[in-house]
Amino acid sequence: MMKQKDRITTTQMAIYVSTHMTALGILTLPRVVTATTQTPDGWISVLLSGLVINLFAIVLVKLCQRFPQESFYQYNPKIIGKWFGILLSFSLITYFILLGSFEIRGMAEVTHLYLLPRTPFMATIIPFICLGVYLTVGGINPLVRLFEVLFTPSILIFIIVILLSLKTFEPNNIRPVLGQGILPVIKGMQPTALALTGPETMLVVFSFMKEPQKGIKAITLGIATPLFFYIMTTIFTLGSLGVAGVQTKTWPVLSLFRQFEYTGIIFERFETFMLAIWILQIFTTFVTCLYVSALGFSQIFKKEIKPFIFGLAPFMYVISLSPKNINDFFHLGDFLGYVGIAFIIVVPSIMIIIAMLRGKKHVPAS
Amino acid sequence: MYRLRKIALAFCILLFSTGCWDSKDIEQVNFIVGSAFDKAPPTTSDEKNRQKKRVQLTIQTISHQPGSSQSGQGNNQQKQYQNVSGTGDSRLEIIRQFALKTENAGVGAHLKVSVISESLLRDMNLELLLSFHARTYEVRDSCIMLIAQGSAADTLKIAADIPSFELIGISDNQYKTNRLLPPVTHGKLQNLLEANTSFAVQSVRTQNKEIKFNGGALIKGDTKKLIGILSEEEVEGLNWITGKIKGGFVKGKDPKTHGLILYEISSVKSKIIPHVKGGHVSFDVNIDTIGRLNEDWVLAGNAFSNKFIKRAEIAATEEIKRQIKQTLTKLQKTYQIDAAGFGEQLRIHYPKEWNHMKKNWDKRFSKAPIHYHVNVTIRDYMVKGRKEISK
Repeated sequence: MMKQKDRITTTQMAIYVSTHMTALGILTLPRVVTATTQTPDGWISVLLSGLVINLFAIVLVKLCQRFPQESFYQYNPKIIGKWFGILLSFSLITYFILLGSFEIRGMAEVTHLYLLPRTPFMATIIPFICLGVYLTVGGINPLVRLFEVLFTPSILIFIIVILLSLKTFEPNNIRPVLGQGILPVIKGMQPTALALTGPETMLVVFSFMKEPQKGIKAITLGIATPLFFYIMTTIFTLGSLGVAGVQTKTWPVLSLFRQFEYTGIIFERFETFMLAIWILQIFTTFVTCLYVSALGFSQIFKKEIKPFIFGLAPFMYVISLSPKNINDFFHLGDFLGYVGIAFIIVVPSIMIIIAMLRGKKHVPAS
Repeated sequence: MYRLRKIALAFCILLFSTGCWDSKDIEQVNFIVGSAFDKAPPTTSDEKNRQKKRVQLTIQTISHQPGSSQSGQGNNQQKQYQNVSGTGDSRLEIIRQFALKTENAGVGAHLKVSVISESLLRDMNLELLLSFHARTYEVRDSCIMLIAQGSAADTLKIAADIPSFELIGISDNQYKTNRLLPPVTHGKLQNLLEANTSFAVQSVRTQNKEIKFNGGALIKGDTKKLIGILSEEEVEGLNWITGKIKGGFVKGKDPKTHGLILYEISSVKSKIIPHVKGGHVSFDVNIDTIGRLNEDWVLAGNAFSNKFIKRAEIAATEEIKRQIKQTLTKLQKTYQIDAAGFGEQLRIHYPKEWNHMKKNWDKRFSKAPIHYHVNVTIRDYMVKGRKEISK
């Protein structure tokens, strides 16, 4: 059914999941978490919710391993019946379309604010989408290969730039640890939802894995990498801006990189580097969303994928421009976070129980 | 067909590589490097008088000016900078005036220093005043804040190539003197204000085009207004309490001969330890410093003997204690303001108690007993140990 060349290795899978996870959420994460906790313990919330997500992602992989050759769109009718299955597939597709559009809009907002104040949204969004379409048409392999190329430089630049922010880091800002007890930390887990969405793509792309039995390893690595970034970012942002400061900034992480300047070396300011790799990370997330949703349509209607990719692109453009102001945009983000979490936690858990009860499993043909 | 494709591709690439949408020639850009806030002088204009809280904003711009040969008067020493002032009650309004006064619009992305005058800050909320800068993406949070005693605009007119750069240069001299407060950046200032913390900012005074960094301005956390100025010596004491000293010296008096002993500071560690007992707060401040004997005016001083070193250590300790006492009296009695981070330590060590106390912390702080312990270690005495061989 699927061509042999459309197979990806375990490492590629891990990179795929982690690049999909690191996107818009990271820029607002310190703010949304701290606004709920009101203590410097936000990073513990991030750590805990990351672990919880990882736990459920393992359930998700277990579900996928029952049908190693098929994607979520193909096997869910077998578990919960044709009509419910198609309904669920369509809601997953809608979610991915919305998430992709949300990411583009976020990219446009930040570029507009920090980089190109007088360039219209159209001029940044359209080339972005065109490139995405160009990449997606090639299928899963070009996608993951690009992700592999981007992965190492992104990590390196991120770590260097975040360590440079030690200049304004004040250890007192992240003390005391657990000063108000564990309750604020538990509360703070809720708003991390948006940043932690991503493993749900595994539902679809798991079918491309060369070695499906290593799925758990792939997803654990894929979640651990961004989680490490998230925790670092939260600690450093809180350390520089303080609990009160973080809550007032629109994009606290970018404010962090604007706190310091290094004179005397070639570069004085480093937020540009951060923005550059971050835009690449947004691009990867957008591309996976586009690909996964187009793949959904093609598998449901059993047609070629290309027309769907081209058809979805203008659609995503329109959706990305639909939030009226930046608050609407943030609300859309919150909403998507919860939907994403539902697809990681609720859907796989229920499906795997039904599948176990009904004894549904992929039976090898031979 | 293939050829056609290639041509189409080339066209596309050319189209997208033509340049930047927002580009602007560097010759047409004036970089704003400094800004100063003053109370606006009274005017007769109707529009101006309708505005209640008016501010005078002076900006200093530098621009790319190749050669000044056309100036005619043979004046080679053309100023490298330009100051423009405008008044109004909002930033955009003032900026709009600049657009009417100067040829090229200023770009705020390189703003290095902001100076606010003391008189303005005494009756204006600093946080509101800063909203001048806080929301714009142009001004970076690394811009440094200073408080001017007297006119703030004058600080941008001091005799220097570019006054703003001079100001930043002096702010960085912390490793040479301990009478300088650590520079407060725009970002840090905002964070302090949002946390309702009281703090001290470096203050400056200009006289006859000469600038002196002469103390610290105290900003009260709840009203966000300036309530007092610390002298240079009191700033020194404040720095000892916070431990933010990178260099400098202490001028002590030899307990035996009353000659001067100058202790040069290499490192300082300070720890504020809060104690809460039944609602009563007290603090211990432990200060450890290591340094060297740099200068002494004691004729019989023999640094080869530990006795003299001990005496020198006592001299430095006494002087440091005196400074701390002076500062604490000012902070606790005169102004009733915690600008030294005592509340911060209480928040860290007693988070639950802090929640009840933070409301009127400055009041409580003024009554809290503070014990300080100074430990000076003189490690060496450089090239010369003694002056005369005693018989």
